[in-house]
Amino acid sequence: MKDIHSFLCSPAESTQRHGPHDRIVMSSRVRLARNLRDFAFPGWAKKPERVKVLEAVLPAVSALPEMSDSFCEAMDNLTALDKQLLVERHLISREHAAKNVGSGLVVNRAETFSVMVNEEDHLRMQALRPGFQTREAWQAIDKLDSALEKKLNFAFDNELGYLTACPTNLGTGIRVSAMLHLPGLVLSEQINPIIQSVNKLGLAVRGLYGEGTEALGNVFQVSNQMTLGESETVIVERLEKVLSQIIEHEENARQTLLEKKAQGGVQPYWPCLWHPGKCTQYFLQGDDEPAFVPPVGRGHGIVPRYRTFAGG
Amino acid sequence: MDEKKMCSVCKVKPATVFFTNVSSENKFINLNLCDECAKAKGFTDSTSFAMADLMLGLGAAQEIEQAVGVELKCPRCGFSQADFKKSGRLGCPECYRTFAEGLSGLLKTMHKGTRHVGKAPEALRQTRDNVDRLKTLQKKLAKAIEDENYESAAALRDEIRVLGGVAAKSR
Repeated sequence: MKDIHSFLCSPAESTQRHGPHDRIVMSSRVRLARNLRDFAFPGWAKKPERVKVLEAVLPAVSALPEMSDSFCEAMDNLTALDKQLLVERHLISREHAAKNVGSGLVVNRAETFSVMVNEEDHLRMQALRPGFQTREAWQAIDKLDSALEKKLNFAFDNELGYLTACPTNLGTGIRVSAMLHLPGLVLSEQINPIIQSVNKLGLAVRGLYGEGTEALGNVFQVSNQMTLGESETVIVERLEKVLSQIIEHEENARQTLLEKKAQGGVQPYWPCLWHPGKCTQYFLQGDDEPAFVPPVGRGHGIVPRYRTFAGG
Repeated sequence: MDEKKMCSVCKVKPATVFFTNVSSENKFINLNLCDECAKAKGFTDSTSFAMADLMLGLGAAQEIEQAVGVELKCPRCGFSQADFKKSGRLGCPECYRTFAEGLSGLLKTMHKGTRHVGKAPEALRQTRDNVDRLKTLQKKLAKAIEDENYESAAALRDEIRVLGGVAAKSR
């Protein structure tokens, strides 16, 4: 088992974000919410009950073959900085970072699986994959969930499916999401109508760190909202279809912008994509900006792959 | 001047923050909050505010209230509808049974359907499949009897008997 520092100091290979369509889709994620049948949900349970759940869940999760090389810790043993890093690597939610006694975390070394214990639900488990791999992420987390249900008694109702603390997650407990970098659609001002039509399909578009966050650096998160009344496969497939269309629109928008650039019509933001050294002002727009400018330039062969973006 | 609107949460102070949420079925849900309640609900704190949850939470609590008239409490965990009003979350898995009546309307507006479709824990999967199959067979049986097709009715009845036995055993 890793200690937090060796874990946080050496990001896994998978976080390099090489995957299908990684010029646009930064990562794909599938999260499942599960609860133990005989305990109150974490928001209502008293501390001893939460500790009991944690003590039951942590060993069960750590013993899974997928988690053989993992980092496993109670939240009260982590510093604020550790938690911040975990949030930035999308391994825990901001809500989970605020938790202490009675909550915990298991992350595998490759950072492809993470399980939050006693966040809003007893278990929030996610499979994270680089690029456009929502289906692969679903298959991976489905397998993990099936292995875990042999050890833990999940709360399940024949009519309502998996029971969750919030009725918005009821049924499948699934949240399929992809993080998209869409500077082309933002620059060409096509993003708002696209967000509106995606919303009409029952999908949510959010900022970088999920609900209530801004779309810093032109990064958007698209995810399903409804979890009851449709199977996981249907939900994953719908998101796949929508994502494919967004990818196509973004590719076209970028192509048009590149053509405009060739004709001398330079967009104000556009120089960042091939003159990273001159783009400090854009990088300073938000703390998260730097990480998200290079993928476009890199993807189009404009910026050398490993050149750092802080000006050199 | 119009009469001042009161806060939907505390019902004591005048509301100063107003929300209108339009659901997918073009239903309007209005929510009025006073400064303090807006703050308590995390409105001023962008890290914890979840508008949808707040709206839905209140909506459901009102529905539960209307449905039962008196305040319900979960027999297992002691969670009440007032608690649901505050947090928009339930207390334990049993709460879904306790508040079933009030929740059903909410689930309809929130989700694609009100019956789970998809994965089930393996131990329950067979029972679940059998229950579904039994329902279908019973419908077919009723139809066969109505059509006076007694031969297939007898076959269906036998099949139901076998399946009913399996379902009872695995329960």
